[in-house]
Amino acid sequence: MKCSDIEKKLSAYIEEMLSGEDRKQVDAHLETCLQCRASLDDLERSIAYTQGIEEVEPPVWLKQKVMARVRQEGRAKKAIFQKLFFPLHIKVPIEVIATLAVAVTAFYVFKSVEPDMKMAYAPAEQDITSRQEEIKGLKKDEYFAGTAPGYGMSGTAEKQRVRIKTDDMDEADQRQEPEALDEERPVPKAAYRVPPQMKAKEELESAVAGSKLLADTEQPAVSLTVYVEDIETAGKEIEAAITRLNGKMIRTESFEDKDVLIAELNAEKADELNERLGQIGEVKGKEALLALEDKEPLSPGVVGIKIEIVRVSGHIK
Amino acid sequence: MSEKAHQNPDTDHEIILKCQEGDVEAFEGIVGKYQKKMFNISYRITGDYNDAAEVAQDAFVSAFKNIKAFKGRSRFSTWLYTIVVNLSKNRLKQTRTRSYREQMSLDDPVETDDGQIIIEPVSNDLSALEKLEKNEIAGRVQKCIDALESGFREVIVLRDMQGFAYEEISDMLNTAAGTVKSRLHRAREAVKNCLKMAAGAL
Repeated sequence: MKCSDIEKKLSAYIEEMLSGEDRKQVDAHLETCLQCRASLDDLERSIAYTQGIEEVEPPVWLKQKVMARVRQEGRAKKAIFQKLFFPLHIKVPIEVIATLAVAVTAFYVFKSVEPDMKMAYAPAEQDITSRQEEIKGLKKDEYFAGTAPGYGMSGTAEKQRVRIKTDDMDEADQRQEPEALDEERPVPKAAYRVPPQMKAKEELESAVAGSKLLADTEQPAVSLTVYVEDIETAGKEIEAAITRLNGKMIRTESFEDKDVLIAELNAEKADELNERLGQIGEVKGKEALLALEDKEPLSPGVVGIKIEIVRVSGHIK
Repeated sequence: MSEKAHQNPDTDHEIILKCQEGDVEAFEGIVGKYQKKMFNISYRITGDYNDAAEVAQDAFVSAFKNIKAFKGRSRFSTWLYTIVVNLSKNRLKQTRTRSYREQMSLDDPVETDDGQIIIEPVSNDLSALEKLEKNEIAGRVQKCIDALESGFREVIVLRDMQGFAYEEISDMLNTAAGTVKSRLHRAREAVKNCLKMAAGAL
């Protein structure tokens, strides 16, 4: 056996932990090998020194410090225990705060979402209900009187908004609506849309129905009929006249053989308008216009006026 | 009580039970009984008096916190020492990575947490000369142990300095007994050579 092998076993040899065979081998080697003998001596002495090192005294405060920390730990544990089993001390305020937080958050969330919801729902609802009414077979005029807001006379911001929405919705309606429904109500449809520029004039079979509607909705309105030869020129002239008299053009509807102007005018200017209309053509219903000044206007001074411009061919009248 | 308790009679049994029931003051008995051993294990592994004091404290606090986890499968002392050995190893790793520690002699004055300078107490009725010689040896041995790698250090501390049985050491280090033996052998050789070099001759 080599010395290096023996040296590896010396540690166990010293502790008498070698098996009988190994021990005999090491014993035999040591008797002959001085070097290994010396190694054993060194190792034994080294171990003896290590073992002989005295224990060091810990700091005198060690126990106190440990106990102080342990007591603190014990208190902390108790606190946790109390939190779990006596919730009234700590939990109620937390619950109150949490509830308030949830309520406030919900309020703000709702507030920030709300306007969008309104915009989306109001026209749709109106649309649906009005269509239902129609299906029930209500009269067209009633339908319009009920659903279409009065234009121009006293239109508030709210009405304006709804009207715009309705217009928008109508586009979609047209696409989805079944043919049967469409046929059932050609007139309402046109009037219902009420665009500033009248697109669907062909759809209108009777302007009378439309006019009636306006008469119904615009209470102080004066209905005039002007018979002219050239509708287009007359229309322009009347428009100019109304504008000059500080009146306000609401809209113009063109039909096959007549135009309808809806305007707002100060009642005081009724006379002047009548005069002007007389120059353009033959006016029918001017009595109502002249009577306007005596009437008590509903809105301060301003009345709605409907002027039908009807074409006359030379031989009639 | 149980069979285990019979096989492995633990004198601390009652105190441990009290502690497990939440009796904080009962723990004082444990600290009083084990603080010296706990401190010395840590001191020999970390090689630093202050570190050892901190580690020993942490070990006791940790033991108290986890005392309910002690089920009596091993001896309570072994359980306790395992904690301090592990914490000491961790501390050693930290200080080693932070900086290569200045090695100090055992006779150096040591500053404690309180800022107080104390000389290590050596209680013996040896003559001055013999005491000095002994202190010198202790310092040299400690330096040689400090030079050992982690893994070898704990083995020689626990075996040759603290006198634990192989089985116990194997438990504490969570290492196979064979590994413990081979490491111990290499650690002893290294310390022997280190001492020889330092002293010229033993």
